[in-house]
Amino acid sequence: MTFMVPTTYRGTSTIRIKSTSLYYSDKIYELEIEKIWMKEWLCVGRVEQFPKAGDYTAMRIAGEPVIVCKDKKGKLNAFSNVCRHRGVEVAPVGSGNATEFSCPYHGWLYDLDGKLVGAPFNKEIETTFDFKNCRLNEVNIETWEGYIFINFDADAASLKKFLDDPGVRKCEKLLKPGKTMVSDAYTFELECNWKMVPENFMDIYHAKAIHGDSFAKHFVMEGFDFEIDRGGRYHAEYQSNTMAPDGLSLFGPMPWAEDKDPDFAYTVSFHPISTSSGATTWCSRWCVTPWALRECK
Amino acid sequence: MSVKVKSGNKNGNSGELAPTRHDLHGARHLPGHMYTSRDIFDEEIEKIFMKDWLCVGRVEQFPKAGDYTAMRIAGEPVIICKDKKGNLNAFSNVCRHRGVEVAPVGSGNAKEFSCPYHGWLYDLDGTLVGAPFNKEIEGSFDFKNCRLNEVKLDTWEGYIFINFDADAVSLKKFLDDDGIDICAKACQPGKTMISDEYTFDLECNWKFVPENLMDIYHAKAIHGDSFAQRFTMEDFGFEIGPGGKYHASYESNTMAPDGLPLFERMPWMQDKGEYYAYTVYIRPTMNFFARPDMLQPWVCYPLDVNLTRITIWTQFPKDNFEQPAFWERSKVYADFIRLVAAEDADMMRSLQNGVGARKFEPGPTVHLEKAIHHNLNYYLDRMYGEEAGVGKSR
Repeated sequence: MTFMVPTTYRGTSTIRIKSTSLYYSDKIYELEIEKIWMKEWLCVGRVEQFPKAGDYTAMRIAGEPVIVCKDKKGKLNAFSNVCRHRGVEVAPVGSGNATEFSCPYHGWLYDLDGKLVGAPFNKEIETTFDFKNCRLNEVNIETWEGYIFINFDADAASLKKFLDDPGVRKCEKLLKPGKTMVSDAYTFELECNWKMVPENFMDIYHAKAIHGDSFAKHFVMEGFDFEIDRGGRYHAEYQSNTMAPDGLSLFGPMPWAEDKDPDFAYTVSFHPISTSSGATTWCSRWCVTPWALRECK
Repeated sequence: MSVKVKSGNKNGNSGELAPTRHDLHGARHLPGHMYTSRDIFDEEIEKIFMKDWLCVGRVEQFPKAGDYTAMRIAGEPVIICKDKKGNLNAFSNVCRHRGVEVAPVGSGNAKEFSCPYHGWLYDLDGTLVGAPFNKEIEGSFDFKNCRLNEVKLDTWEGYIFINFDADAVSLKKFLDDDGIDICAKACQPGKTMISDEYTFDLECNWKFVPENLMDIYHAKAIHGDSFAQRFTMEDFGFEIGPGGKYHASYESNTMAPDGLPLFERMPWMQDKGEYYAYTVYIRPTMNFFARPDMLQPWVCYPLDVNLTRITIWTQFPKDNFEQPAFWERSKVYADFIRLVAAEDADMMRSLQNGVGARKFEPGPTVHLEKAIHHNLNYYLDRMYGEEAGVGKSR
C-alpha cells in the first residue's frame, strides 16, 4: 500500500495530513467497518424517542440492518433486521409503531423482541428447523443518560466500561443529559467519508473561520484546553456562545448549570463515533454512521 | 449495498453447501456470499452465461434490414442485426482494429456499422468492408476475411437466443433436452407479438430474479392485492426436470387489475379454465408465464454481482393488434406488470442487503420452494460438479 500512515502518528510538530487513501480506499473502509463499527458501542437514539411498546426504528449501519424496538414489558431491544428465512428486512428502514414484525416477503412473524412466533406452513418447518428457539439475531443494547447505544459484537465489554472516562464522568456531572429530552432530531446525509465528521467536531482551528458569524463570535480559541483521554478521546471546557442566533439564549440556564458563566461550554468526544457538547442552556449530540465509503449520515 | 465481501468458495466442496444439497425437506437456502462474492460471480459468467443459450429479444423487434440492438451481456458487447437477406445475425460489437464498440449500446436502424474511433466499416452481417488506408492494411492483414466475431444465434417461437460458446449444442437440442417444447405446444408464443417491453436494472444478484419468479411461498404475501387474489398455493403442482427446469399449471388471476381480462382467450387456450396459468423456467434466466389471454416472459442477465437487467415482455396473439382499442387495453397490462415488478423489486433489493449481513444464516426451504431448491441444486451441479457439496444426509 502506498499511503504513509506513520506520519500521522509523529509528534504534533511534525504531523502530516493523513494520506487521502484513508478516506478513499474501499479496503480501508471495509477494515474500518470490521475493526471499529462492528466492535464499538454506537449511539443510535434517545430513550424518549421510544415512549410506547411497539415504537421502533429500523436502520442500516454500515450496511447492517438493525431494529431498535420497545417491547411490551417496556424494555428496549435491538436485533438484526434480517428475516431468518431468506434475509429480507422484516421492517422497512424508518420509524413507527408495530404490534409485531411480519416479513413482507413470505410472512414470517416476529414479536417485538425479535422472537419468531409464526410462519405460513410453520408445522412443516418445525420438523427440520428449531422454530421455537428461532429469533432475529440479538444486537447488544444499553443506555447511558438517555442515549441508546448498540453494539454488534456479542463479546463487547459493557457500555459502562466503554464510557468509563473522565470526560464522560464530567459530562454526566456538568450537563446531566439524562435529565433532558430531545426537542429536535436533525438527520441528513453528507457526501464525505465518515471520519471527516468527528474530525470536524474536534477541530478548534476552524471555529472562527467558518462559524465566526454564528456561534463562534465569542469563541475563545487561544488557550483552548484539550484534555486528552484514552481511546483517541478528548474533552474540554471552553468559552462559546449558545447555539442560537447572536448567541442569545432564549432559555435560562439549566438548573444544574446555574453556577456556570453564561459563555460556559463543554465538549466530549466518544471517539470515533460521536460527540456530545453542551453549555449552560442546552446539550447536544452529534452521531455519525457510515453509509458508504464517501457518504455518511 | 453490503460492504463486506466474504471470500469465495472456490471449489464448492466445503460443507457449507451441504444444507442446500439436502433433500428439499430439511434443506437450507444458499449461503449469503454466493450472492455477494465477485469471485463466484466471475465463475458464473464463465460456466453459465458464456455456455448457455440466452434469450435476448423477439423477432418482431427486427422487422427491417438494418434493424439492430447493441447490448452488453455480462460485459460482452454484442450486436443483434437483421441483414439484407432477412437473416438475423449476432456478432461481437468489438472493432477488429482497436476493440471499440462499432455501435453504441441501444437500438436503431443502420446501413452499415462504422467504428466511431478510426472508421473501420462493417456490413450488416459483420463483415469488414472498408477502412481508411485499407490498401496499407491489406499488405499485412487478412482484410478480406476479417469480420466481427460471430456469436451463435437461433430462434424459438419468435424468441431470439444467442450463445457465446462456439461449441454449444443447437438451441433445439438445448431446449429439447430440458423438455421445453411442452411450452411451445400449450402457449404457442410464435403466434404472438409483444405489445410491451419493460426493461429495468435492479440492485441485486441475478440469481434472486429467477428464484423470486419460481417462489410460490411468497405469492400471497406480496401479490395478494394484485394478481394473487386467486392463486394456487397448497396444491401447486411442481413438475421438475433436467436443467434445473420446472413447469407448472396452476390457478391465478390474469395480469391485469382485479384479475379481470380485457381480451378474449387466445384461440389455443379455449379449453383452459378462467384462472388457468402456466409457467416454465428456461435456464439460466428465462421465466415464462402464460394466462389464457396473454403471455409474459421475464428474462434477465447480470450487469455486475449486485446489479441485474430485467426485461418483461407482454405478448398477445397477432390478430389482437388489429382489434379496436388494442393499445389502450394492452397499456392496462403494461401498467399492471410495472406494479407487480415493483412489489418484487423491493424484496430482491432487500435480499441482496440481508444476505450480506454478518450474522445471516440461510433459512429452511418450504415445500412451496421446491422449484427454487431444484434449481439451486442444478446451479451447484453446473458450478462445482454433481457431487460437490453433497452432505451426509443425501
